[in-house]
Amino acid sequence: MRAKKIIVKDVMTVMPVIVLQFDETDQEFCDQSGSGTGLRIILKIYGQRVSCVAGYKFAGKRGKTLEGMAVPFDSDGTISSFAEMLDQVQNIQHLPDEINVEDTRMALIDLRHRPLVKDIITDELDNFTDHSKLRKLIYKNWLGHHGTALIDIEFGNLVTYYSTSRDWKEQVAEYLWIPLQAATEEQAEPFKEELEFKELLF
Amino acid sequence: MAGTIHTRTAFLTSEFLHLFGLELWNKYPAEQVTDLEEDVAGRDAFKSRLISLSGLFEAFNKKGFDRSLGFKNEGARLSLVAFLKTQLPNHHPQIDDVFRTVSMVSLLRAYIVHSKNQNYKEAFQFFKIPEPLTDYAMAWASLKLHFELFLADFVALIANKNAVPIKQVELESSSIETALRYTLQKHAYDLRETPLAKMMLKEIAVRGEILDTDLAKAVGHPVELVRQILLPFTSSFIRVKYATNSSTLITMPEFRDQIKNLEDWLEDKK
Repeated sequence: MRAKKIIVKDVMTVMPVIVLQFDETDQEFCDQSGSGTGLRIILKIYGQRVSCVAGYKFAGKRGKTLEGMAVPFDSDGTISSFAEMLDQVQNIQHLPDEINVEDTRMALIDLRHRPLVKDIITDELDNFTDHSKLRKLIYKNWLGHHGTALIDIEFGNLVTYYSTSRDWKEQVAEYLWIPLQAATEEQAEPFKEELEFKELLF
Repeated sequence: MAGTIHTRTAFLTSEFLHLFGLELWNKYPAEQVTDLEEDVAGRDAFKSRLISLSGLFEAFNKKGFDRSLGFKNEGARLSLVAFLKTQLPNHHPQIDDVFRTVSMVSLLRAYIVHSKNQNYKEAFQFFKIPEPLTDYAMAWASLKLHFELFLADFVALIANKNAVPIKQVELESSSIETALRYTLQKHAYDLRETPLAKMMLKEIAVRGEILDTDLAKAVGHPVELVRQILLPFTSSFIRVKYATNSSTLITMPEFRDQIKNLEDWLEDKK
């Protein structure tokens, strides 16, 4: 591989880039990556923001713009685990030639997963400084789906709700952990129509 | 008496053979090396040294490298560079940097010996030779210095062949440890301000799993408070599953050992 740092200049523009080029000595890597020798990669650097485009020839890009050729980086457990492993070395040349990220990825999943209580609920709770006038309820609607709702008993408002046809046990567990008092039958009654609920679960 | 260049070249030659099991040279260029140690008084001597120097780069073991690579390269220098790149796959840019000296010598030779002036200014700049070239002794001193540096860099470069990379397991454990520390940091406020949180997490860690209602009894607090305090940890250390319509099962799938020794993790290391 060849790597070259170049300062590209234009009117009022200074654009530092790094160009990489695969050659015969990269055959094995090229085979793994589905690339070929001769592939050139332009990395455009601005602070920590880097954009990247690759091609064997850039003239006559078959009607494509460079932008169209660039592939956005997607959220991916493999690459994000690798990125965190990268943090562990001062010099990237100390890294092994092959890195298996599975165990790290699994550990990261264990440390960062979806909280028990859904955002749709916690975001609303964050909007209220006083939770004493809020109540939670869990119900079954006319379709037989389970719903969770938050109500404001002071102003008689429906704060938020969601219903789902799946995982009612998960929904009950979540409901139990919502840090609010449960609504009584009387408190829930006025919302019966709006929520299309048949009965309170408990 | 053997000079610096001779000593360094000989050292490089034996190191190269030792590390790669292949000769660096087609035939050890003893004559050229001896010639490089000579002084330079005028243009002719400079030219002669320059020819010796670039002759040296043509004496690399092209056949051996091409055979090892399985493909042919244009010239001995490119052949060696390709060989080094396959042997040191993580040092491609450094290899190019080190061998820039060699290509600059070729450029200078083409200009001085064959009067080809393509890109010769690049070589002049590289070796910091002022134009027009009149002080040949000075120019040679610069060339010689660059060559000595090249030999030293070359030796340092190939020493990477023996470098031991960090082990996969070490990389893994330190990544996981870092992630764990970040997570603990995120919870630092809850853990510091709420001793009950720490106590309950440890209890869960020891047991592996426990009903929230049982945990409430064990710590002597209402289950609602237990859930409220532990809620932030449902996105990290604990999982909550349905048990009955009034209780849930709290589990801690991983990091139980670390949670059991929470103080060590929270205090001694930042």
